Amino acid sequence: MKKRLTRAFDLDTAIAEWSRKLRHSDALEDGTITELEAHVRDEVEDLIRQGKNPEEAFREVTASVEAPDAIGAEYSKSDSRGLLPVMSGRTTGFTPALFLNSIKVSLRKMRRQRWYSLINISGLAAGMACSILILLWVRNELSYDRFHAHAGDIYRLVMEDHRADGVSFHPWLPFPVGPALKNDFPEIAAVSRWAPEDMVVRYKDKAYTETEFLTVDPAFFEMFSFRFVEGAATRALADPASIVIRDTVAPKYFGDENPIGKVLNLSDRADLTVSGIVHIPDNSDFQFDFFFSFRAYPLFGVDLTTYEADWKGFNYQFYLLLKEGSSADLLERKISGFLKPHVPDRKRVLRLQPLRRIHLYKPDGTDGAMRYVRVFSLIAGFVLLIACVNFINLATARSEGRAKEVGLRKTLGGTRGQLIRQFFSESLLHAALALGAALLLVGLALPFFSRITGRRLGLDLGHAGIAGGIAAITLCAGLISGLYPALFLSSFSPVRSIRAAIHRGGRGVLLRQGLVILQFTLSTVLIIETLVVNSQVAFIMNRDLGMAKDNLVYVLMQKKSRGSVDVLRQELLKHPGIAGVSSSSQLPFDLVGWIGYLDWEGRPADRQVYFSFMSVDHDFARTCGLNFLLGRDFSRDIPTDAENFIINETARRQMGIKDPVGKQLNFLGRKGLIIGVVKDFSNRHVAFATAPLVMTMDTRNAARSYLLLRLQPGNPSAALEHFRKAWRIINPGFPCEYHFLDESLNLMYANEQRLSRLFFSFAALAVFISCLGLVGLSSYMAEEKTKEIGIRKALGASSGQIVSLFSMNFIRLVVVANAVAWPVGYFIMRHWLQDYAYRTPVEFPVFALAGVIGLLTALFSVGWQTLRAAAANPVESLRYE
Amino acid sequence: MISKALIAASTKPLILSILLDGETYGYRIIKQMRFLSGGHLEWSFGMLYPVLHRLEKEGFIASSWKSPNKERLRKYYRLTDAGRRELEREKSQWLAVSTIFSRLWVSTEARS
Repeated sequence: MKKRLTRAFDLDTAIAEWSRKLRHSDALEDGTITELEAHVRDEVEDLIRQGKNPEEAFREVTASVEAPDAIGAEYSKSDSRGLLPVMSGRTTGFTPALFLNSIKVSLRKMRRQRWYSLINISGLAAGMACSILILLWVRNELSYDRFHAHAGDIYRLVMEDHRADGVSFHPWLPFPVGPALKNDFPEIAAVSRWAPEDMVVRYKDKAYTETEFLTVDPAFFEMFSFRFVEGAATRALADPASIVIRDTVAPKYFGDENPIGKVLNLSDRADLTVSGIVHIPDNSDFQFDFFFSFRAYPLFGVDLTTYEADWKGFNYQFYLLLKEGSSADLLERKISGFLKPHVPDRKRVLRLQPLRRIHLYKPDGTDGAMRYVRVFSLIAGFVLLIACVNFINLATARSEGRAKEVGLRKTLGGTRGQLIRQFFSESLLHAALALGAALLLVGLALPFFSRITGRRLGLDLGHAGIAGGIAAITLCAGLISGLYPALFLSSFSPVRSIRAAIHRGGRGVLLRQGLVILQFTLSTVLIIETLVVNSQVAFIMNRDLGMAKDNLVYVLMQKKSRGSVDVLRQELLKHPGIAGVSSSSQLPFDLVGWIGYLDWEGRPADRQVYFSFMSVDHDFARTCGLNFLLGRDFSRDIPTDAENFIINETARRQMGIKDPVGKQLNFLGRKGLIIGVVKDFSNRHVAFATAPLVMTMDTRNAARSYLLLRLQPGNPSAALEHFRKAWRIINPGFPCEYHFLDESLNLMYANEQRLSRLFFSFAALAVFISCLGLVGLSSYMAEEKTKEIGIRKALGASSGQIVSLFSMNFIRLVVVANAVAWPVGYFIMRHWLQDYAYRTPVEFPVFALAGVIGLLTALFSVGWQTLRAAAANPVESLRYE
Repeated sequence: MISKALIAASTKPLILSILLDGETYGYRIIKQMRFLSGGHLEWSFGMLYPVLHRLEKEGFIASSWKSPNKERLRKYYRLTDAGRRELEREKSQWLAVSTIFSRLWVSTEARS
């Protein structure tokens, strides 16, 4: 056998070598060579399959091929109609090799201009990170309660209530409405009522006050597709004595035990058996921990039949599941007048609100949270645009450098299309690199962002919607940034661009100035909004509430603990740290419900006032620190006070009586005298005007929902310890849980505070990115004008003069931006503030401050660069002249 | 074997006819020709590709880069509308020539 002495044959090397030879031929483009190479590989593979060894196959295939020159000549022949046959520059469609070339060139450019690339990429990254965060939030907002299998067929009943003082929409309706509707309208497949509760839950030695209770009908878990971790949705509430608990609270009571079959005691009134453990996703508006059936009411000693006949108490929400294919519009028309025969006193129209709209829209169909979805989507767009502007500005500012390249490429046969492709691939490459940094930033910012939005957000790149959104953001950033440079730079004529430098100014400069104005306008608008939202939050927090909110503690009472108020008061007042003890039916700062209109002595027939109502006791006004304008407080020495009333200032105004003290008031069949008028205290969310209020004295247990303690200023811990001790003795078995009123007030305005932090973050980001752009532009300008600076210095100008000369250019732009931003910001904020009955004034200092912030940051970013240039020794810059 | 002159004349209509069946790439065209002609007609790729290139420039065919099934990247050619019209023109000419031949040869055979 003959031994092979030659080096082992390697097919890939041989083919690479062969195609390298082809590359010498001028007539062959990269695409053509790729095509020929594919052919050779195909044919060689076929021959190998027929039994040839790779070397033989390769030789046979390439032997049949003419020398590279000959192939080239053939191609030239077919191109021979052109004047410059070889460099026609025409490519056939998309050429992979050329695309790689574009990227290679772009990468080289970035390496050479590290500083500008850094500015571009970090700006784009910050902008994209911000957009991605907002994307995640918006997606989450839009996903609420859409996961239910029947989500499209579930509707909530809403009532359009025509009161004398206007039309309002709300979802609260009388108990019998749902079953009655289901009875009359066959297109309704199922109905569930819904009422929130609070209870003390006890299991063995563990007891907690739970506020996230929901009473529902057994159909509830069949209508809504919540996942059951244990138990089955269909049978979960079949037994009236059963209760379904949320997976997150189960460990609190049961630890590692299996909760199914265990018995929970509710407020010492009923025992219910756990029949299921349900998982409630974050993106559901049903954030409740305990669910039990209305049919359990008898177990609490409540007679269900009285509820079933009560058309007057508007305390329940209703969800309807329509049969597939039935029209909600049609049903809405049919049920609209349903309430009339039952509650004929005024016009009440029933309407249907789709489940999928509940999270984002108010019951009347107008924007609720949807408004913030829109606003923040807009902000995401703004910030991304600001970042793209940096890219456009730097690209066009540096166009002189690129002009030569463009000229050369064109002279050698490059078409405009090819150049546009080159510039786009540059901007897309920047965007792609920025994406990497942006994802990193998002990862870092997500915990913080989740905290200020109050939502648990995750960056799930495997999710098609999220990945698609991120891809769209990247593409958008790349295309917007690249569009103008691509069209502008590729339009240079070769002759003009190669001759010295292109004439500076004109289109490019104007555009850059316009874009800087745009950037600063958007940033300034965001600053103004941040300042106004902040000042509204401060206004809310520091507003005179008309009562002393500090050192006030409240306890939510249960039916069985309410009887202990009087005993508790005696015991608690023994401690020097406790200044007052009282009880009331509602929390004074958050009144809910109204009681229709009252009759009073001398009421003009056409005057109707919708009062809020609160039961209090003798010590309420003193404990809460209310001030009397007229009359007096309830007194223990005057027994008839049990029938009398105290009203607030707003009630007096709406009644239209100057001195109502001594006038008779008719309240739910009870006639009594008005004995006092208190100065208004904030009794509702600041979005609403203070409600006209009637206070009666009611010391029955039902009216004592809240226990209020006034502590002495200073350290409250001794007084609270005393309270805990007394509570344990007087109400054994009930958990001792108290809240500070001022903390609860803060919680009430969590939304506003969240908003102010979000605006602050976005405004800071917008300003940061805008300044990055200014740093880039001014450093470019300083570089370009090195000689001018040198000459000026040589002729005696000081560094300061030079800095101010160059800064002036940019300052002018910022001033113009402010002129545009002020009215825009003013109108936006005036619109936002319309939502609040009490609002901070929007005054000049806010705008001035926004302007100053914009100016200072601009000055800083421009000054830094120009100062460096101005401080340079003129000898350095003029040496070569 | 078929003469060079005849190959040169027939290449264009043959390529256009093959593409009538749908898009395909260079090597497949050569293989198909080899099969259809029973080995009588052997196109070298040094000849085929420049012709494809020319036909594309003339607008009779169009190309795109594809790699179906993740195979290697190949340039696929397809017939354009102009190519279809061109093929019709060529076809009528070839049919005319072919009819003449068949008439001529049928009658000569009958005479001999």
